[in-house]
Amino acid sequence: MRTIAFLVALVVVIEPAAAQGPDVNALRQRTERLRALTRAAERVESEARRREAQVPKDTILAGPLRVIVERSRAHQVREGAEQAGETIQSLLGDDAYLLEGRYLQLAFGIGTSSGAGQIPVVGLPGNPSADDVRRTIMGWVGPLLASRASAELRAWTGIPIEVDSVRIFRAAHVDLVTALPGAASRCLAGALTDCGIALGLEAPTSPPHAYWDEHARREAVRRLAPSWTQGSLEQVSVACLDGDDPSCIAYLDARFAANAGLVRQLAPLGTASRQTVLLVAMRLGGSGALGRLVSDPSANPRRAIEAAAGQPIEQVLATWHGTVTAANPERRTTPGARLATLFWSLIFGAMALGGTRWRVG
Amino acid sequence: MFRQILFTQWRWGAPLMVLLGILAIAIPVGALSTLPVTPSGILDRVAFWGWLYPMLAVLTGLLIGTSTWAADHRGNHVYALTLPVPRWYYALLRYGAGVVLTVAVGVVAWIGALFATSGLDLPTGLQTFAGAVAVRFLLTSVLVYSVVFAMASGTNRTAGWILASLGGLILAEFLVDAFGSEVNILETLAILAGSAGGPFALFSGTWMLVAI
Repeated sequence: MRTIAFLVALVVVIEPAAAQGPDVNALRQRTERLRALTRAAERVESEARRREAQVPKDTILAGPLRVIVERSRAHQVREGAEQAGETIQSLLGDDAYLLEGRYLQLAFGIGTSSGAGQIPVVGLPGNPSADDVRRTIMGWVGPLLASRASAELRAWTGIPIEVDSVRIFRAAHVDLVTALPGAASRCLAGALTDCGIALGLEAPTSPPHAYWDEHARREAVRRLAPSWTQGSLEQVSVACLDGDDPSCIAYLDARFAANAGLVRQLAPLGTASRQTVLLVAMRLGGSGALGRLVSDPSANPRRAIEAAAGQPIEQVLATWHGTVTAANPERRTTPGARLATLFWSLIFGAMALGGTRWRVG
Repeated sequence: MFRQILFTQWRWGAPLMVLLGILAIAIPVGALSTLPVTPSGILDRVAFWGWLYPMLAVLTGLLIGTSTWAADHRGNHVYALTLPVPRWYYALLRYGAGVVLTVAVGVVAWIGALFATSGLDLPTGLQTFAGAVAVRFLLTSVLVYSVVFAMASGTNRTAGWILASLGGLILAEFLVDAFGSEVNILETLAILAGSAGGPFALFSGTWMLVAI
C-alpha cells in the first residue's frame, strides 16, 4: 500500500515537470556553461602544448620517417623505431619516399591528436616495449599508406592494414570456419576459386547462389532483412524465412540490384580474411610490396594484390589458404594450466593434512 | 582401510553421486541435440551450454567435499580417534576417497561427452573436444573439492581465521577506497587467482565441446 502511495506521489511530482517540456532559459544556461568549459579545456590544452614544446626533443629515424620524442626517454623508443624502420623499408622498398619528410611525434601516456598543420602526436604506454613502439608507429603508417590505395581496394579491406599478423591470421581462421556455408566452406575444403568468390575478389554472376547454400541463404536474409525491407520485399523475406528458397534468392537479388557495392561487401569472408590476403601478398611480394599495392589509384583489389605479390591471384590464394588454415586459435587449457590446477589441488589437499586438531562442537 | 572408508563414503553420498552423474551426462546431450545449421550457430549453442560445466564442477566439489567430513563432524571424530592411525593419515584416506568419487563423476562426464559427440555431422573446420572438456571438468572439480575439504577439515578456530581474513580484506578495500586510492585489492586478487598459473585459471574462458 505504502509502495503504491509512493508511486502515485512520484507520478504527481514528475508528470507536471515532464509536461512543461525543456525550459529555454535552462538550455541557454547549460549552453553557456558548456562554452565556458570548452574555453577552459582549450586553455589547458594550449598550456600543455606550450610546456610540451619546451621539453627538449630528439629525432630518431624510423626508415624514411622521422620520429620526435622526449630526449630524456629517447632510449626507450630507439629500438622499436629501428624495427619499425626495417618493416617500413621492407614493405615499401623503392616507394619508401612516400614517407620521406614526414614527422611523427610520440608522447608518453597521452592520447593521439592530428590537428591540421601540426605534427601528428601518437600516444605510447608509460613504459613501452620495443614491440609497443614498433606497433604504434606501424599503426600510424598503415592507415596513412592505405589512404593512398584505390577507393575500391579501401572499400574491400574495410579498415587500414593490420600489422599484428598472428592475431589477424587466427581471426581469419575463425572467420573462414564460421562464415555462412557455401563458397566459404568450399574454400575451407580447398577450392581456391571459391576462396576468390568468398573473399569478394571475383564478381559472381549470381551472388546468392555463389555465396551461400540454401540454408545459409535463409540465414543471410534473416541477418539482412531487419535493415532493409521495403514494400513487397517484406513479404518476400517472410516467405524466405518460412523456408521458400526462391524467395530468398529473389530478396537477395533485389538487394544486390539496388546497391552494386554490396556484392563485394557481403561476400562471406570479412575484414580479417581480406586483410590477411593483403599480408600474404606483401610477404610474397617482398621489397616494395606495399608500395606496389597502393601505387595504382584505379586498381581493383585483385589487380592490386597481384601487383603487390608479383604473382597471379591463384598463387596468392593458395599461400593464403595454407597459412590461414594452419593458424589455429589459441587454447586456454594448455598442459601448463592443467598442471597448475593439479598443483593447487595438492596444495589445498596438503593443507588439510597439516593440522593436528579435530573440529569438535 | 582405504576400501572401507571409500565404501562408507560412497554409501553416504550415493544419491548425490547419481544426481551429479545424471547432470554430467545431461549437459553434453542437451548441448549437442538438434544442432543449428551454421557453424557460428553451433559454436554459440555449445558456448551457452558450456557454462554449465564449471557450475557442475563447483557443485561436485562442494557436495563431495562437505559430505566427506559430515559424519566425522556429527560424531565428534570418535570413530577416527579409536583408530590406531595418526590424524594426517586418516585425513589422507578421507581425501583420497573423496578424490576417487570426484574422479568417478569426471569419468561419467567424459563418457557423456563422448556419447554426445559420437556420430556428430559437423561442418568442416569444427572439431569435438570431449576429452579436453572432461579433463578440464575433472581437474576443476578436484580443485574445488580440495578447497572445500581443506576448509571443512580445519577447526572452528581455523574457519574463524579464514572468515576474519576475508573480513579484513573487505575492510582494507573499504579503507583504501575511502582514502581515494585507485588500488582495488579484491579485484586484483580475483584476477590473480583466475590468471595463468593461478588456482582458478581453468575456470576462465568458454568450455567448448565443439570448437574450431
